[in-house]
Amino acid sequence: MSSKSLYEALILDHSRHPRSYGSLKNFTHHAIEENVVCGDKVSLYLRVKSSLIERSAFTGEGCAICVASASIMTEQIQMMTIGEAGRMLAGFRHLMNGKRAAGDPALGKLSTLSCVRAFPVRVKCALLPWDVLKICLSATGFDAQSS
Amino acid sequence: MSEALLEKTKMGPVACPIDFFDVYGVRDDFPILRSRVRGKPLVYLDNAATTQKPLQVVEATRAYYEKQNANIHRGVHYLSELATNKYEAARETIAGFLNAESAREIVFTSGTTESINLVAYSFGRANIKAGDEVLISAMEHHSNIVPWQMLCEQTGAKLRVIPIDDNGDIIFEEFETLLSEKTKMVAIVHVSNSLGTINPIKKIVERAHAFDIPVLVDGAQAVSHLKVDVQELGCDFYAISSHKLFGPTGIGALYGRESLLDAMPPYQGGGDMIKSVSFERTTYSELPSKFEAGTPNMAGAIGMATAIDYFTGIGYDKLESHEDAVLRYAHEALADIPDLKFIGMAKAKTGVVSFVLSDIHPHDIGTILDQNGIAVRTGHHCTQPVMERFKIPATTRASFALYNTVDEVDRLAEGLHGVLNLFK
Repeated sequence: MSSKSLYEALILDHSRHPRSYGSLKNFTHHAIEENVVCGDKVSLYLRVKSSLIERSAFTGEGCAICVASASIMTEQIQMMTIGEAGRMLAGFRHLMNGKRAAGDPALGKLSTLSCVRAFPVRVKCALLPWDVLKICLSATGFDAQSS
Repeated sequence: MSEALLEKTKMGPVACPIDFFDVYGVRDDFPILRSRVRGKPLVYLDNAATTQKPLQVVEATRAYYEKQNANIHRGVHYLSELATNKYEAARETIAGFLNAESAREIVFTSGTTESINLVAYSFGRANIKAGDEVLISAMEHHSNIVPWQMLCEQTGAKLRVIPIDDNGDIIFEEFETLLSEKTKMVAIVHVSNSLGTINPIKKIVERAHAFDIPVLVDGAQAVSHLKVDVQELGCDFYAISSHKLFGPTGIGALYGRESLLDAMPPYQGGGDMIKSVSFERTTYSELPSKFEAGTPNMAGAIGMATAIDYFTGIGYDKLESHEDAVLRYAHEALADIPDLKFIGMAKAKTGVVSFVLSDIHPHDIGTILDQNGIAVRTGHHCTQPVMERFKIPATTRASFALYNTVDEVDRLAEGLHGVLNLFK
């Protein structure tokens, strides 16, 4: 796979114009994770009301893959229930470790990131925002491990 | 760059008219350089992380295991004597390479990191106490920060840091201000792995010695580029790694001034470092065995000495002018790339071009270059405080060795244009 197909239009677009970039004022959940080796850092904010993620936003710095992944993630989980977001988290992890096919309709836009699989050292870049999500979901009492 | 050349020639042999340096002949000695990576000829520009190994080193290591292997300093049998002689001859080679007064001043270690830890542990715990200070610089590799930090935590001593300027040079006046009777050790890198800066070691040693402060030099990045003479530099400890010098991994050396090493307590206990052992009392070996507990890395030591013979056989004058030309060419070629900013423009510099490109993350640059068969390092290069100093999370670093060519620099520049096109 060429680097052109890794950096396909949607990933480049999200990395250059990340959606939901910024901090949330009235957040209920917040976590930061860092990939010390690369210097990637994602700070995630969620506003959760009655198990519904009303708003999600992130700040931080990272490579195109990490930022695009964070951008698509925050876009996707908005207005999802905690359970739905947890299932998406599990689905995305399975996609990244090759246990789930890229074309799975449940993953929506996230399927775009399946191209990262061909670059094993970069998988951790795509997963970083989801690691932060897992921390936030766990803080709501959701058992991210079992999903 | 002419200043850099000047600074370097001061330390090395007198510059003579440049002989023809057959870089392609040298490349033939390194089989890995003929590889194709992702369908393209490999361009290996990650030499500051580790260098490639010439056939001579591979074959010396193989010959050791095929024909010479036995444990050293023990057996009376033929092979043990042969292995002992080879191992001790390797020590002599390293002593000659660094111009130590005697081979007793060369201790084999697993590499620069262990060499520094040995000094921090043995010299440090015997001589440094609460209220004392250890002075390092802001451009140190983590391996010349953390051992001293651990020492300071245990003893109550304080770690002080010499700041660097925007070019990546240490601020010498600040260094002079920081020196005091509290300072008990100056530990500083000779050549920075993330910036390429060559530090003025001789001047640093002179100032430190005026206060009777010993100086440890991290020479990991220096010895493959500069002629190092520990007597000329005047330093008290000099730490090196074989793998950054075209030799095997897992072996390195510590040079230590004999009077200091003699007075230092052993670092690790075990076989080979003792004269006699009873449950009541153990007496320790003489130098350098006192610091080499256990069966050492014999094949590594022999491989390291072979690498040094190979490398010095080329001649520092020839390789320095070749490397300087490649580095100068790289600066010129990369300066033409839009939105590229060099990190580290020290007056005297060798081996490294570190940069940031537009707002593109170095990891993306590294992945795209890798698709073109070009190996560079991206990240903080084990110098997080340097990244903080320049307020960047990471850089892309191309680092050169004697076998790199200007054609390879062209491939790098072409690759970087490709990165810009993809991200524009």
